[in-house]
Amino acid sequence: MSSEGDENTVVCLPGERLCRVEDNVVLGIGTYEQNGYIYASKSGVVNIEESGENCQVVSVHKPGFHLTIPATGDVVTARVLVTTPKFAKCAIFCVRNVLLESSYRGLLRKEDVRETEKDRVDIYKSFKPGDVILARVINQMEQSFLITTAETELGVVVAYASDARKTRVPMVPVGWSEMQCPLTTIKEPRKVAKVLPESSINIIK
Amino acid sequence: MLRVTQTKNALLDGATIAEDLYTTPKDCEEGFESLELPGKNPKKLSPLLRAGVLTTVRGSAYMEYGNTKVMAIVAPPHELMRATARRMNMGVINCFVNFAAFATGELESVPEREKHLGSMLSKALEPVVCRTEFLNFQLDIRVLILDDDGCLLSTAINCCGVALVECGISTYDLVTASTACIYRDNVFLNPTAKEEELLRKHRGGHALAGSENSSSTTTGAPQEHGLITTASMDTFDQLAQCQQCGYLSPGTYVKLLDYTLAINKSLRQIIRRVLTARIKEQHELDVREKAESALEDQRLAEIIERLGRQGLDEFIQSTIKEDPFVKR
Repeated sequence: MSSEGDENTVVCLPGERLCRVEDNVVLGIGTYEQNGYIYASKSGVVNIEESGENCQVVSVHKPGFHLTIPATGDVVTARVLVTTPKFAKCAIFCVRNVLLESSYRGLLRKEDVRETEKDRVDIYKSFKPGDVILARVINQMEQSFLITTAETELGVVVAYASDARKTRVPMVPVGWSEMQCPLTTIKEPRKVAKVLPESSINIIK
Repeated sequence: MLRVTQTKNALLDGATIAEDLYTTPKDCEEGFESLELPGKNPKKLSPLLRAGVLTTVRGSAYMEYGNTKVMAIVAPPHELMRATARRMNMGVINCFVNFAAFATGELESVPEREKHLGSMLSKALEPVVCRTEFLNFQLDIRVLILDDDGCLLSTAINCCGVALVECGISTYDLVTASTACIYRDNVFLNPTAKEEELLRKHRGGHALAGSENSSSTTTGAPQEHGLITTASMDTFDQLAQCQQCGYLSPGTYVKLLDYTLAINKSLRQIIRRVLTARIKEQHELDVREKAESALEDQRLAEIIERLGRQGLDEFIQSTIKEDPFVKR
């Protein structure tokens, strides 16, 4: 059914039978299983990857636009919109390293701001509207994603001082709970993220 | 067999409307005569189909079928607007159908038809889309009808199927749909607006076996008339939707169903061809983009290497010299 391209690429369409379900074949993105066979659920190029322990992952990669929805466990970048004593509302605009077209709603509860001393957290001492934060998705609720910053690497990344907002000079983190404006030297409380440099992340990998 | 019974209309306050109900209206007669009757082998139209017609939206498709022109737009799923719209473990599909102002002559019935088509369309697409993949989300599908010349629903379903695939939303299968109708023993495949209008006028009563016979045999078998719209998924031989109106005997029903399924099969080939071409085109673009970004990376790596060798000042001097505008 599928046609062979120039560079040995196999193009498939939704509902096309790819292969039989076997013990060492794993379903990847863009596939589903029905009646003992694996079918494609997206249009694109078929990818068969070898993974460890004699397993093969069958997935369909769609060229062009790729649809991304935040999943549980993903690190997302969000902008704080509203803060209340119990929670902060955010707009998720980036998932992992993919910039979204339209933002999703995120909800950051007071309990999820940091790991320790959860009962002493004050939202207004951790975030201000306009801050850009890194967070992890815990759960998907009915109308928004529940996100947490209870990790040292998560929290406020970019923030502006409340009264020097027009200058648009971002504050510099001083310590894990404070940020300072370089122009006015005003210190403001924030839940600061310990951002790792890109080089160190590559080494860990 | 259906029997003619006198119906009482509460609005008419006891007066019966039987006389008018069971005779074919005069203008229907004229309309029927002006129609071009299909032969034994009804003609097949070849549709014009384009995927990705709009660059501003992710999933879009345009389809021309006969004189019917339809455009479908699929946006990436977003959060539910109302929590009450949530269904058990499934995403929600909302279809909005809009007629262009110039699409149809009769403007009074447009809002009603838009609503009806929208609900029918979402029912047809629900079994096709993998709704478990976007839990607690709603998928908005917008359909714009540019020209209305019959079989709107089936064309809209075809168009939406292509737009969904184009947007990258997981679907179990490709969906194809077609319409067939029967009127006075004439089978119309993919009827035009005129033929559909004729049937709609008929729906109130039964078409008797010809107007000249109606006076002599009032209890004769009502003539078959009706319209079938079928949406099918061919991989598993499933029907996504089957809508029927009118009066049909089981034999005729099966016959019409077979006709529509045959058209669906041929439509599927066309859709496959269009989508495969589209994927190949996009794949080539992707490959080219990747090659370009690799070149760019290489260029940057070279610059960084030179920087490391020469130091900053020397590097700036050397790059300035290379600039053709400074040379002059």
